[in-house]
Amino acid sequence: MAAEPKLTHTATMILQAIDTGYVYGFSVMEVTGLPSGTVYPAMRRLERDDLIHSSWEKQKLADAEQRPARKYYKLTRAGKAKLEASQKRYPLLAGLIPVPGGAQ
Amino acid sequence: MTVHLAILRAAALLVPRAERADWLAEWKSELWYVLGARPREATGFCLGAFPDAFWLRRNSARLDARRMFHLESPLQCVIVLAVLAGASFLSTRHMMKEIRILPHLLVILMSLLVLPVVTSLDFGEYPANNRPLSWPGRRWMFFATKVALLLTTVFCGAITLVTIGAPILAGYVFAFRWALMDQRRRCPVCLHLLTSPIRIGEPSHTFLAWYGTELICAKGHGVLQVPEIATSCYRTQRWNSLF
Repeated sequence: MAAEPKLTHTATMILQAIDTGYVYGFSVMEVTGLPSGTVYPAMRRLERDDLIHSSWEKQKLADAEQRPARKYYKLTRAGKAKLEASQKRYPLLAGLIPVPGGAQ
Repeated sequence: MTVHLAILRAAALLVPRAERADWLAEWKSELWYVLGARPREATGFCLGAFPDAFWLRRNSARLDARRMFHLESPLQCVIVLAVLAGASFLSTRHMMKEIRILPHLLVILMSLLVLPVVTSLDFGEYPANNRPLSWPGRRWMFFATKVALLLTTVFCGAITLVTIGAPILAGYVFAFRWALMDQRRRCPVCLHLLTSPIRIGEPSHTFLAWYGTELICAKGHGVLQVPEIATSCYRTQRWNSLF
């Protein structure tokens, strides 16, 4: 049987949060309740493993709203597949992450 | 805001230079939102930048100090260390008559006692069926040369900069540690630095397999398997010859 690498609960929670629509670091921190020292290194690891992908928001959009541009994170195809596999392992996790109420 | 930015800038020093600007831009941007939503938590948020910076420093593929200083080949390594030792010696030449050797010998002895605390003394497993070296003692000669040159650098540097004490002890410990770590990352046949580190396995599969890092000799002499933790089957790093 092929060995399927598994994600930790924290990594799965972060993947779940990003998939639900919390697409930048601070929002992931707020919804998961995890500290910055956990969330950001975990997101770097997920990005290194090609489970998420980051991209900077267009500067024009941020300038129009007079705020700094954000770095957004998005699940890759491999990340979605991994999340689906991990949800079977952590079935209660989806209920912990509420769907974002308004526009982010 | 200034204190928070200072914390982020201090953490940014740990981030590899190539990734620093992007990293700092992300943290500064996030800080702006944290200050807007939860100003009281901003300091705690900024302190979280340090684990992130450490992680990047540890895992950056682009950062390798040995390659930065051209230490890949044994000859280049000895030349660089000899230049350092030579420069260090020349800077203290006029003070040589006043130097007392005994305190330094005692500090070197103490550093050898401290060394097992900061690094493993194990060189790894090199099975006997490997292709024999062209000169069997070459590997140990190289190690001894590195240690001698590093000790000279620290010894002369200590005379120039500070007196005997904890900084010198740390200097000797660092010298021994560096020599050991460098030796463990070299091919036992050609003594070149091993390249292309890749992660193998998963921590959850340690029962029947190992997990850690595998490095290969660019000249094809073999692969080095370095376990992340010692297990009964992989107590220490193991060299597998490709001949």
